[in-house]
Amino acid sequence: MKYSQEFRDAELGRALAAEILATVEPGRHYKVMEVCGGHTHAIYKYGIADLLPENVELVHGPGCPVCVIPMGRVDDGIAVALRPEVIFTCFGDMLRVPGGRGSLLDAKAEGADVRMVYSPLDALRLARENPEREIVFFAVGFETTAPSTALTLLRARAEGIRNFFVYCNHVTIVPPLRALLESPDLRLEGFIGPGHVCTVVGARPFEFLPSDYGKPVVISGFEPLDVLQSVHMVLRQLAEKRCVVENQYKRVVPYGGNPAALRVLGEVFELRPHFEWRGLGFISHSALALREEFADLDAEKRYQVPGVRVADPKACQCGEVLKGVIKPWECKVFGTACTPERPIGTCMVSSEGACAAYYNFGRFAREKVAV
Amino acid sequence: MRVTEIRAGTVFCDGAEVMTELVGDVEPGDELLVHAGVALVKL
Amino acid sequence: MSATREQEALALIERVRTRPARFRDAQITMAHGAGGKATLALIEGLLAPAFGIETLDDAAAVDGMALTTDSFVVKPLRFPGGSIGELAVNGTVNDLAVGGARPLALTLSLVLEEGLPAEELRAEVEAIARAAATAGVRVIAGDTKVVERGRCDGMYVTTAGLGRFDPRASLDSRALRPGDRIIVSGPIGDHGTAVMLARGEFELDAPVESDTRSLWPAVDALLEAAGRSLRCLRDATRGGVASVLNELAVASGVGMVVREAFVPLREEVSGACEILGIDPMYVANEGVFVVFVAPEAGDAALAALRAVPGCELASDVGEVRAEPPGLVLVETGFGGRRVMDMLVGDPLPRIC
Repeated sequence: MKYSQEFRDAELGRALAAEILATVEPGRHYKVMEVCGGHTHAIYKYGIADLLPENVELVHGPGCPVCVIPMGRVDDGIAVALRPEVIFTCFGDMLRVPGGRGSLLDAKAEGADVRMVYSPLDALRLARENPEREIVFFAVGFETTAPSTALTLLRARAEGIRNFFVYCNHVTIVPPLRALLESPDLRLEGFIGPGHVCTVVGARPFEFLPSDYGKPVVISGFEPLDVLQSVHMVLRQLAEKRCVVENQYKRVVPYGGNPAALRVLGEVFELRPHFEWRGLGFISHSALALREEFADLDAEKRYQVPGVRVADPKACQCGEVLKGVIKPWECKVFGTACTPERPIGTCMVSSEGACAAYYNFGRFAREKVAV
Repeated sequence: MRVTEIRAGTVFCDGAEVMTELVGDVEPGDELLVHAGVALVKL
Repeated sequence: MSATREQEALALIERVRTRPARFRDAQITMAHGAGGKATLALIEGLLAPAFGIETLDDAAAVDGMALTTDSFVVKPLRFPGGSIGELAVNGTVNDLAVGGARPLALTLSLVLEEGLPAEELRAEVEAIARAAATAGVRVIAGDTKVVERGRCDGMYVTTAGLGRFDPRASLDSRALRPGDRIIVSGPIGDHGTAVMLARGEFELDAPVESDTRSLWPAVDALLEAAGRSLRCLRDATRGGVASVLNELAVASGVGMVVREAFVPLREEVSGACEILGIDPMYVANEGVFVVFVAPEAGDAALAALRAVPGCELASDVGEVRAEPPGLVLVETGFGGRRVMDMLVGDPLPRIC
């Protein structure tokens, strides 16, 4: 824990905030997207937005891995979980994500054997301890979490475990970013890059942001000073009219990522032709499936999941909110059909999503502006 | 997380098993960046 | 133009939010037991209206006496720092104490599972007797039932507690006023963290013990030092300190500011919660309560509290404000602010 404290020093935070203030042009509005849900969480937890000038706005990106899983995939998972022979395992924050007909917590109340795990290894252990049951792991997450699933599958294979299956919902971060950037009405000027994803894939996959779209990006750590410094680095690039990939998180992220992890991902997974994202629709090559060689461990094949498709209501405008085109309250279903209790889009599912935050704390935000 | 124990080839950080295939050899006292039970970086 | 539309959207949300909670779920889920919004909907939407109860306090008044009841279903039965028997005594004693009543007597109901080893039962009965003696209450009546194997986790315990309201106290959850100090009586999150770790779901070793204890000595000392300047006391059990603050901010129609850096928190608990991705402000306590006291009596209350064993680390964590009503703001150690909302379900670890 000591390691982190030096990156949480309020004094240094104030100094950085002053530098940021000196970097921005008064009268110009800056929208910077933090791609990763971990950054969104840090920004919220430490109240980082309070330390930024009023004309610097952080936009929360599509990087919360449980919030982007579409309702149909949740329903398919529940269908598997309700089978009597199955122990269904998933990460804690997946339990509450609603599908078309309730969440995994609701399925648990109906009698499904749903258990929270902290790592796919916990699920594999359950498989060893319960040879008469079939253990399914609901795999979600970006490139950060996928290596863990891959290594666990390799272990299951090596140990000859036959009652462990993966329901694979791993997604990749670059395609949704491209989808956002392709939009002509995009209002973002720079990006805070996902530090933990980059420990696996490196900084190189983000070079397209400056080269193809002219947007600066800074790979960032997750301590509050990391995030503040990264915002400063993005703003400085904008001020100096530079546009490159910078790595603020050098103490952890090597530019080339982790080659061993990339090898393992390639060995176990292949890209799906397309995958649906909650609130964003279908995006090509944006998710991973198990390779043919692992078909016998693939829950989708074993249980012939129904492939439920629950269309996001037409009126859901998560895409526009993410692009910064509209404010949450301008969405047609905000606060009526789409609420934190019954969310439709990704921005409402996570309590840190732009819409949920606005729904819960909008009054506070308004007062802050008035101050 | 800090490696606290290595037992029969299995690595533990504060009592939790961690897969270290992706970071090479580790020894007790090493600091690892761990995500979902797998070490991604040796710090 | 657009400002008007924004205000309309906010007004709509406000109408929905302030509507009395309704209980509309098709079935009970674990969230109904977590102490957050779903629990509130169950109580305010189904139970309270059925019995014509208007205010929800830890202990109710009957002819000058205080009455309360609580059930205990913890798994595992024993955990570092305590066991279900101690919880069953202290939990009920504490509901009386924070209601401003001196605990006098308990009733005890046991639901036992077929096959429960007699040794475990004996140990819990002894724990109950010991905890009752320590808390200065007598167990004066009870009941026993046995259910088939698999129908409960070893044993469930229900206690009811009778107490006498202390004449020094005038406590009311609607009495908070701007300027009141907010004091937390000790390090938060110990109990919930100890139980989570003892369940073995996380494979994490950390030397954390439950804080289960009787709070009457602390309440007694506070009443002596601050008496009628005490506005309200709440034990921060299920849902943690965050839930207590939110409930009272709503009940009194006030805002609150909490300075995170002043909230007492053990390093081991902070570390375990950080690894598990859980905010300790939402984690259950069994020996921590929150004190709301008029500003002029704040220092006296804090000094009195710190002199009580178990409350040495009591801390003044913030104050009540007029604005924004119903919201609890946290000033983070890093110098920013965030809203600390009511818990939606169980505190679940996060992956991202």
